[in-house]
Amino acid sequence: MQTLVETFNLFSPVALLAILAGTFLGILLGALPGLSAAMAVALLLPITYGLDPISGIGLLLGAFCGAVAGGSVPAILLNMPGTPGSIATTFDAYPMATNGRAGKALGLSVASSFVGGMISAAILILVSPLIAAIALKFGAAEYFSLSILGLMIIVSLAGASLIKGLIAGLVGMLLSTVGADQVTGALRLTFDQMSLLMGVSLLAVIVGLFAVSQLLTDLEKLHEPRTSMKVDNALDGAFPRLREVLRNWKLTLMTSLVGTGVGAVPGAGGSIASIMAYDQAKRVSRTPEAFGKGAPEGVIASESSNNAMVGGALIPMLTLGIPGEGATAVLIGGLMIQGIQPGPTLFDTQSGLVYGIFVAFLLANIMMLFVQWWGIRLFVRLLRVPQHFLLPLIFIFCAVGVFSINSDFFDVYLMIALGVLGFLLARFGFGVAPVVIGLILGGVAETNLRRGLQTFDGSWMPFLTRPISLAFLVLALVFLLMSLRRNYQTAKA
Amino acid sequence: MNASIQETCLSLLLAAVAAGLAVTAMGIPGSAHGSIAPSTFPTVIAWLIAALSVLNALVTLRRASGEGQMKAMSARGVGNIVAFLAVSTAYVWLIGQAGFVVATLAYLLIMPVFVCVVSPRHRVRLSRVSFWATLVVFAAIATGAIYGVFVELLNVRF
Repeated sequence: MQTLVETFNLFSPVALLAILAGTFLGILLGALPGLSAAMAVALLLPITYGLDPISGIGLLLGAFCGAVAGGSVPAILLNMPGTPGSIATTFDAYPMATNGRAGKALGLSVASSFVGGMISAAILILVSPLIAAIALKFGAAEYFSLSILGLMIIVSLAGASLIKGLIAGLVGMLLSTVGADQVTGALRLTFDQMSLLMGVSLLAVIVGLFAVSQLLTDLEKLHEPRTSMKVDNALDGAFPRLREVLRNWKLTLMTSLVGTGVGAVPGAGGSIASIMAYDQAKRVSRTPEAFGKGAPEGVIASESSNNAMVGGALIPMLTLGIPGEGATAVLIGGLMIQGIQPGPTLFDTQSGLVYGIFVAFLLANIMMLFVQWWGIRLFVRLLRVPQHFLLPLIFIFCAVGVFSINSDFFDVYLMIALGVLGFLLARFGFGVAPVVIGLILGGVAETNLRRGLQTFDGSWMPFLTRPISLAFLVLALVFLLMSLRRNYQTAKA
Repeated sequence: MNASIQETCLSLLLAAVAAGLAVTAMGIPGSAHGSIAPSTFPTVIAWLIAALSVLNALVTLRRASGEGQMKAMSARGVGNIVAFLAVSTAYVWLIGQAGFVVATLAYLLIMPVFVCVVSPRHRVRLSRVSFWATLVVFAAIATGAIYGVFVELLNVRF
């Protein structure tokens, strides 16, 4: 009851407005082809600095849900997924749009995104406290092993090459060591730069790697001819088709569960969730031959699962402090900027805040439904915003946002440098998400390794003899071997 | 230069930088205190990056016979990026010298023109009077809006 009152007290009109604004801006950014959910959340991160924790995290959650849902707009109208999670949406929604049913496809997408998000929110609320209660028993050895497992899952699932994934993850871990050492105070890799005393700015890393690198990717292709982004599909009755989605409740429930499950696995992401759900939907459908030719079930499967992925991704993030993919890594950054360390102790010490985050996530899904309902035509028009105005505007937003945290121009130059690094890593298939995840998990791994060794009098054995720690390390090894096998098979083929 | 050679160059550059950082990290003072020294973690990670980068360079060179699916970066693409980075870095420097409003207004007038010059599908706009009018209005409104949000609402001081 006390928690309920605490949770209720956290919600001020500012918090509600922040969730609404985040959802609106998230849909807006997600609707722009090429801007991922992680980039949308990263772009809005600086704004949260001046807000209270619930308003700040509510804005980011709104942006995350909104961006994933907004990605369906160009997927439906242009056959161009706005975010990777919308890839499977193009399979049936675009044929529907070309057959004069663009409004229906948009309406189905809005309604199934909402239902998928609500189902995953319910699972998040039910499952998270249980996982957190188990995780509360973890010591330094378990946390060290868990961070190694998290990193191993991400590097093995994030890219095609294990070597490249490992390099990207290690680059992030190396960045986490910059600054004054927490135990001895020794300066590490600061190169006499005062701005690096407290380590690299998390925001500069996030915005540089996700937003600036994406700008550079767009600029590289700027001189290439591209097919016109002409939106000429008439919008027939573009309103949420909740009744139709609920009529397919078995399908919606199944694909939402797939989305939540895949989302909870670190490194899996929205594109895997929606493609797996789409495949499942096709298998159980009575008319599988209609899939790929404009089947409404295909749109429901893809959109319910990619939004359900969001709730799933929040489970390891909140309970273990392990970011599942790019956007949750940015969300952890948002929490850390607010001085909150996600993990099981959060459920113990700040349960009101945790439940506040749950409620904010539920509200973000509800607001997403209404914002998309009323704003559908606006978001469609947004596809016509010229690139020559958008690119400089995004850069200014990145630069000013990063500067605003420490009022230090060094952070902005660092953001540009990391943007170049991120562009090169993404361009040659290393990926940028493992870098940010490595940065977050690197600190966790080193702190707990050193703490553990001190506790165990310098002995490494407890890391291998404590059952949970050993289980995590064995699992990490299994992922490493699986990834090696996959790489070997790919090379052989 | 094909994509494989470009990737090899990037891997070798990463290896060189990581090796340099590893040597620097080895000089970090401080003892282990019953645990590991402050230099251990960064040194081990940097050497691992260097080793894996060399390994990646070798793997990439082995399959460099032209079957690579990745498209190489073109000289024009690199040129676009370098020019954008030069103008954007100058913009950040200019904020400190001339203030946010002057620098942002100048950036928002220059950068859209740069994008149109570089991009064939946008270049045609440069000959239209409406483009220039829209550009001036856009630069003024966007500068004012960003100034309003960050300086007035969020109290950011440049």
